[in-house]
Amino acid sequence: MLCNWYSTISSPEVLRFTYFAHFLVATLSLSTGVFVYVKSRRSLAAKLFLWLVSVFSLWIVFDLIVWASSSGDWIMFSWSLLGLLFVLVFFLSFAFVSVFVCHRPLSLRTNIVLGMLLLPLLLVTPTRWNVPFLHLGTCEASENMWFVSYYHAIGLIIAVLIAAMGYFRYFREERRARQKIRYVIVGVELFLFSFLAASGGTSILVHYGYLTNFNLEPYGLFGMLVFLAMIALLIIRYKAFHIKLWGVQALIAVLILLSGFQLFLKSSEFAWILGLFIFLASMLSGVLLARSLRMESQKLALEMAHQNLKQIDRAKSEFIDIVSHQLRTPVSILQGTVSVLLDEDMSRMDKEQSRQLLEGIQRKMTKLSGIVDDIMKVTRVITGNYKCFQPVRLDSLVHEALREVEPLFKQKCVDCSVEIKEDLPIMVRAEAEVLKEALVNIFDNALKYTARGVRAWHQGRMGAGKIDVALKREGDYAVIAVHDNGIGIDESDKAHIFKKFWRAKNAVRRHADGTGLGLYIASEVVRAHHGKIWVESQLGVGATFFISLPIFEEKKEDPEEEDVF
Amino acid sequence: MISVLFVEDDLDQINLYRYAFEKQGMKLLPAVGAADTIDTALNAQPDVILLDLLLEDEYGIDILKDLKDHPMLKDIPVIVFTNFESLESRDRARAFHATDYVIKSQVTPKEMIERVRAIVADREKSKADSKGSSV
Repeated sequence: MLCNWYSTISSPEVLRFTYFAHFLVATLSLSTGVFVYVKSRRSLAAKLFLWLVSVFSLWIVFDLIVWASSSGDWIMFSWSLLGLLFVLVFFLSFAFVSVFVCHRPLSLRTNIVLGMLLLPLLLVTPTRWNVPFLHLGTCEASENMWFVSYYHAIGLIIAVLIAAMGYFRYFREERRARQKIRYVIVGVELFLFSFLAASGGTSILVHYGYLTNFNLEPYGLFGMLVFLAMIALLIIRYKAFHIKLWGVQALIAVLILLSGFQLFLKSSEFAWILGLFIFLASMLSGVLLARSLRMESQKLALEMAHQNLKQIDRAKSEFIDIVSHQLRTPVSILQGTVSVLLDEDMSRMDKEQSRQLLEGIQRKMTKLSGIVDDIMKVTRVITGNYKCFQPVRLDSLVHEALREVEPLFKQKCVDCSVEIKEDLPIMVRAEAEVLKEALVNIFDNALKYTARGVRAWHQGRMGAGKIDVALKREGDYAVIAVHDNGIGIDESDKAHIFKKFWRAKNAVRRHADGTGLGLYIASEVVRAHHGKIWVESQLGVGATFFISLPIFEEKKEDPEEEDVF
Repeated sequence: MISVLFVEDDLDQINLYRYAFEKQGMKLLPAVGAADTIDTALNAQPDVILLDLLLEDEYGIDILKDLKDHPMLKDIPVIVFTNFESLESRDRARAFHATDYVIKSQVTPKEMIERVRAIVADREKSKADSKGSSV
């Protein structure tokens, strides 16, 4: 240690803690950054994250040199770089948040402005203006307060801009995305503000005599650990960066590292050796535990996959039975009628009788054509083969779909009301006919469950059948809600009803008028249109199906509209 | 005159088979749903019941069970007459004492008429045999 102006640094506890804090944070940051980058090399967010933690780790290294070096030259060199690296950490945090939260890099204009802000630092850093002098004899040192204030001010402004970016983006996203934004912004802001406090805050407090030393500075590094914890949470819960990681694996890694770093805090040789032994034992136990858990998890996953396959197989058989029934029905009418017409005795009939039989054939042939269309739709949905997406008015599409099912509504004595809350037309990019079919399937499904309610109503068990359709704007999305007061859906079925071949427990096994794939087709079509579909329901009360689709607006195509500067 | 109760929700099937059966001097009575089937069967006491499996809101197997549980209807032969083929359905039909399981698309109306005639003839023969043995 060169200087005594960090007088208390000469105390072993403070020194050990300084090393502990610096090495721990740098190692954890770099390990996490490398892990994320290796697992997700193509992701721009992963690259930016690695750059961020690398520059931050570099700052930590130079800061530690300033604290603990015995060389005046090294202290001066390292100290002069701290300001530049400090600002780079903030710039990279900004870029990372922009990509992770807003799904696009900073615009050229923003980058130019940031570059211009960085320019004075680049010019001043290699000179003596930032750290004018360091007296080796008295260990008196001075920083250029204008320089220090400038780069801390940039850091503060960028931290505020990041918070603003997160705030405005938050209200434009759906629930799941909002949770992710919360984690990232809280993590980044805690990290940046604690970094600001560590770097600038302690300097100001010492300068004005509120503190007598810089011992609080290393604590400011721990904000990065909060940020890393948020990143780990995002990976474990939401598979951020498209990485699959168990919580247990992350915890084991953290525990092993922590048990290793506690070696820095040991005061005697014996304690250090004991600590080393514990660290090695922890590492071995952790590896074995992770392996054992992985094997158990793989076994469980295989068992679940096996059960799933059996279920799919059963459902597939049921589907084949159903489709063959659907195809056989018109065939049996055709075959039966032809055999009657060809029979010598039975073919003697009057005009009215022959007309009736031939009309039966006609109806069944139309139905057969419809069944083949249904099967083709399923194939199209499976292969994702859509022609082209055009801007269409969603409100008009909803009305068209309702007109198609209106005769069925009347036939089954179910009332239908439509409410469109927006005055302006709501546009979406869609393949209109396909999306309309999906809507028809949803209305048809609501009608099926409500028609049963109508029968229950006639039997005095339930209220009259009603279906309400509403369309409104929610942020960047148009949301269609189809509410029925039918028999509702059991909680255990909700997660499955959009799957192929699934039939809810309270649905009668009747497929006379369809293949039973209506909801599956609807869900796949909505997803192909970058939308979401979900249901909320109470058994015996009714169900509401929601479809959310991104709104198409011409203006939104210009990224400059959303620029920070 | 042989009367047949046809439990079916497809009007085209009913029209076709009503025409064919009546042309052959039989009577065909349509019914939809469990309540309608039981009522019509009790009133008309048909010789044979043709039962579809996939109905509007009911499953034919449930109606079959109701028929076989009813003391006044349990002896009426029931032919499951459907386009739905599965091992499970056949097993369940057999378990509930259906006389036969026929796939609609595999028979013509004339063939169906012959089957009904054969079942009625068998039934009458068994009745005659049992009367004879009791005497």
